[in-house]
Amino acid sequence: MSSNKTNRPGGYAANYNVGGFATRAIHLGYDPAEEHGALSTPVFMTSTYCFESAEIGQEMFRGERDGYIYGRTKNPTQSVLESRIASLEGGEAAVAFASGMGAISATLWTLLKAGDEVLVDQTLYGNSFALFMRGLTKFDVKVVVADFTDLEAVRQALAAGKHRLVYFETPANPNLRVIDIAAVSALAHEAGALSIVDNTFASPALQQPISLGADLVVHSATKFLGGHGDLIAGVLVGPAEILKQVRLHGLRYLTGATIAPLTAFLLLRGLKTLELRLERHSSSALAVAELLAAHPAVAAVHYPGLPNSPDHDLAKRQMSAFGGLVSCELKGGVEAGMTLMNRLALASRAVSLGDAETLVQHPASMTHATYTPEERRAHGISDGLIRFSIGLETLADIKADIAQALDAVRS
Amino acid sequence: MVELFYPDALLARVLKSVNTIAMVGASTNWNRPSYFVMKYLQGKGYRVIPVNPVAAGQELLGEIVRASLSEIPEPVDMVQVFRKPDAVPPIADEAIAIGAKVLWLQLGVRHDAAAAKAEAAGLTVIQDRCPKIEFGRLGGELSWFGVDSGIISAKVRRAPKPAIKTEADVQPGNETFGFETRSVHAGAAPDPVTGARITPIYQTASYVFDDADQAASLFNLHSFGHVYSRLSNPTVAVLEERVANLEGGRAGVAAASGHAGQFLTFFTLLEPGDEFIASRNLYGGSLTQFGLSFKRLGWHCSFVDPTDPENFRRALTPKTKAIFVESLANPGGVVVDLEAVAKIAHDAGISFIVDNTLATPYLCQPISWGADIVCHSTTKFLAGHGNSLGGVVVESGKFDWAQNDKFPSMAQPEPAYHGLNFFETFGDFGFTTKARAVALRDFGPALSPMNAFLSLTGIETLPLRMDRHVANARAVAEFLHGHPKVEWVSYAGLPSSPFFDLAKKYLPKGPGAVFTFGVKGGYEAGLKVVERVRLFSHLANIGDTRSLILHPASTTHRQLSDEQRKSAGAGPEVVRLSVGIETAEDLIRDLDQALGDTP
Repeated sequence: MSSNKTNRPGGYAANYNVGGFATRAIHLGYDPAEEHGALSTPVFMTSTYCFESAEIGQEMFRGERDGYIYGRTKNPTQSVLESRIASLEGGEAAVAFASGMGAISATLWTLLKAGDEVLVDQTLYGNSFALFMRGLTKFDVKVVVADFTDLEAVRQALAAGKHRLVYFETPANPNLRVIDIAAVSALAHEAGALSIVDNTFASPALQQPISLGADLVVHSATKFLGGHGDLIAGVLVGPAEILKQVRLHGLRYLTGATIAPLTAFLLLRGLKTLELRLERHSSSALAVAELLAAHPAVAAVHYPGLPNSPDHDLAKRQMSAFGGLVSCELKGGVEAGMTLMNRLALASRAVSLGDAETLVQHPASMTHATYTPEERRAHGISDGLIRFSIGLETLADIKADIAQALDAVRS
Repeated sequence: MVELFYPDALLARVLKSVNTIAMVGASTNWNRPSYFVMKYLQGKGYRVIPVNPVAAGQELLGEIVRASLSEIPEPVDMVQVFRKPDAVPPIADEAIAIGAKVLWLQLGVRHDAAAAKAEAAGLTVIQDRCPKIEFGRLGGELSWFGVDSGIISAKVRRAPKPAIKTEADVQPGNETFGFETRSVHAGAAPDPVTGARITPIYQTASYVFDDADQAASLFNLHSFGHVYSRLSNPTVAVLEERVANLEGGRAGVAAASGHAGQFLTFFTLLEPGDEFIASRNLYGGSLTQFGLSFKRLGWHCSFVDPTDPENFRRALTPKTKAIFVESLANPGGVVVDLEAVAKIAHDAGISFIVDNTLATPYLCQPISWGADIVCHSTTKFLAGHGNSLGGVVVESGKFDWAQNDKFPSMAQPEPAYHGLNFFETFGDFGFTTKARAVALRDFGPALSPMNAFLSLTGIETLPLRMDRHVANARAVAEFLHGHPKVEWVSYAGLPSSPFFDLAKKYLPKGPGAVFTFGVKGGYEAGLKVVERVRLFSHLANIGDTRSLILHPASTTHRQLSDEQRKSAGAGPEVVRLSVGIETAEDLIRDLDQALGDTP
């Protein structure tokens, strides 16, 4: 469905590769002419595929012929999704997975072997951090941690070993530190390492790491890519040769983390409004960041869109807007944070992010509970930090809810 | 008369603070509202003492019926009145005398003087409300019937039972929320068992009954709850409530398609031999449904030119029961003067139905201009992604079905429910309840839970999409307007459109994204454009994220004569666009190359 398409004159908009971001997010990779004219991509709820002949089956298994063999590695609905996300990220190819952790682990299991060294940023999503520090180390991979906002520290760490890859998030979860993708990727390449960026918080609508020099991009597609909080999925984007290895090893037999066809369908639906949603998430989040910054109960606000943020200039260089996540620290510490969360009526207390609904969570007790208290302190995640994922509700309602909860904290 | 308003917090406080209720006018007839309201309240943990001189001394639902309030031996917290308004003053006096804290007059019962006297004596007074409905609404049960609870909150709904008194039990509600917030939240709440934030897909046919008695009361519509997914389903109900809320209506009922919604509407309104008047500028499928298929059911539709509202008045007959228009007509860009037509309908004591599919509630709010019923094909902009069919019918709750004898189906006993009177029992959500309980039950066009789910996630981005749809449509219309190969452009957003001023009034955020234009060169030229486009999809739907194009003369209107095509706005040179949310420059470039060498 996604290969060897000709754009027949007067026909459908299949493989619309040349258009703007929104056009590609809606059209690319699907040709209705091949599917009864159905405008919406079908959900191929099938586990297996029939071969036209025994010989063709044999050729496919030998890898001499492209095609669908078994649903663990590939499904037609998934293929449309993969070609679309690859285009939006500006990469050659993509592979979709059952979750963001599925994407990350399949990638790492494929690229690494015992004795390899990797360099990671100090601020990562709790379970990514756990995978590196407690998962990979069990298999004799050496994991070095550095502060990637300090380029000199990155250079020294790379010089001190033989690193296979560097891995970071930007903006980082949960304190929204921004890392210079171009500079870190250049340092990695000088040292012969691959540069892998988790682009979950920005999404390709705001930031395209490959165009800045990154080799591979991973996503928890559960978040902004899906956008409606109704699925769990992950994506890897990058050079076709590496992606092929990850599909045939990492996905096929190392993790088996296959995305469900229905999930791929829901993701395709989410992509259609990705640009619109990210514009609104970003403008509302900026307004919330300004509200928080002006409130007497708030000690600090982390949002790269604020002009006085130390990351503002860098963020402006590599992002077209600043995303839907805002975090803050309250003067009253953890206790004030708990009160704030309990007083919110419109915002839901829930982990995850990137939904239409505004969500709020406390990293120290939730998403980053896998860090020890010492690790959290060392990595700049204070116990009083509260993280908001600003939704698509009417901005005045979001602000009113947060303001009344903040006022309750102060009194 | 001043409109009554009771904040949700007050109603919740009343329902939580009382334990013993004296019900004046309690009936021993199992199918009278007073009987099943008493039973419902007992089931929720209240002690209810029936008061009725005619049945004094008899046993009713485990209680002895008293002849008057003063004969009740124990203290009474609340006196509830199920009598005609003129019987209220002496009952109010008695309620004061026995030291009740609350005087509650049933739905349809109001006596301002007696209420003022009771309030002066320190009682809390609620008039013209049903405690069963309010209890069900605050606790989330009423949402099972697609009624807009008016509650927007990220907290789990809890019934206002007397026993529960925690801080988390603070009743939200009555705040006003913006359209975007309601698009995301209305009708939905976290799952009370698992906390799941997103509405689950309840892919179930049936629902287990607590016991045989509860089963019977559900079948008789005496209490709120799900029986079978042809009638109601929890996922579908969230969609019903969300659309009702966005339209500013009281309640909604969903159907398997927009057409099915229209069928439910007219089956509930009309008797065989009845008539209704419709605009002649309608979606082609509606013209056929009304003009041909309904005729076989004995319903007659007369079509009029909607651009002069007086045409509707001239077509009225004693048998006319409704006027039907599209707020923004498909495809000609015709905007109907809703306020003027609503007045004509209401002067005649009949209902005004508006199909708001092309405009969506984001661009147009028909109920605020007098519509009594709003219909939608949710397949279009509401669901928005071209991936699910569906329809929703919303009632305003403001139409008095008992003002004349034109609507026996609403205001007379219904034989299919042992003589239940829907307007009396359900009041301002009687119409959708009737449509659900009879038309949906017996004809069966139920919406699937999966389609309801996809429609819900679609609505979450409705405001964002409509802003982009309108901006893109405007850019495309302006481009075509100046194109040498284009004869005319019929978009109500262009100052050259005769509907420009009406569009500014009724569609202040923009006149949608579906419009027609004429290509120089007639039939062949029109056909060439649809054959040459690459990005626009050539098909018969509207309201997708993708841009769609159609040449009506060679497709949807092929069967008509030249004359009929012309009057339907589907002449040989006409091309219809539904402008999507792609990058606007890509759309313009595509049309430009398609028009390029058109003669």
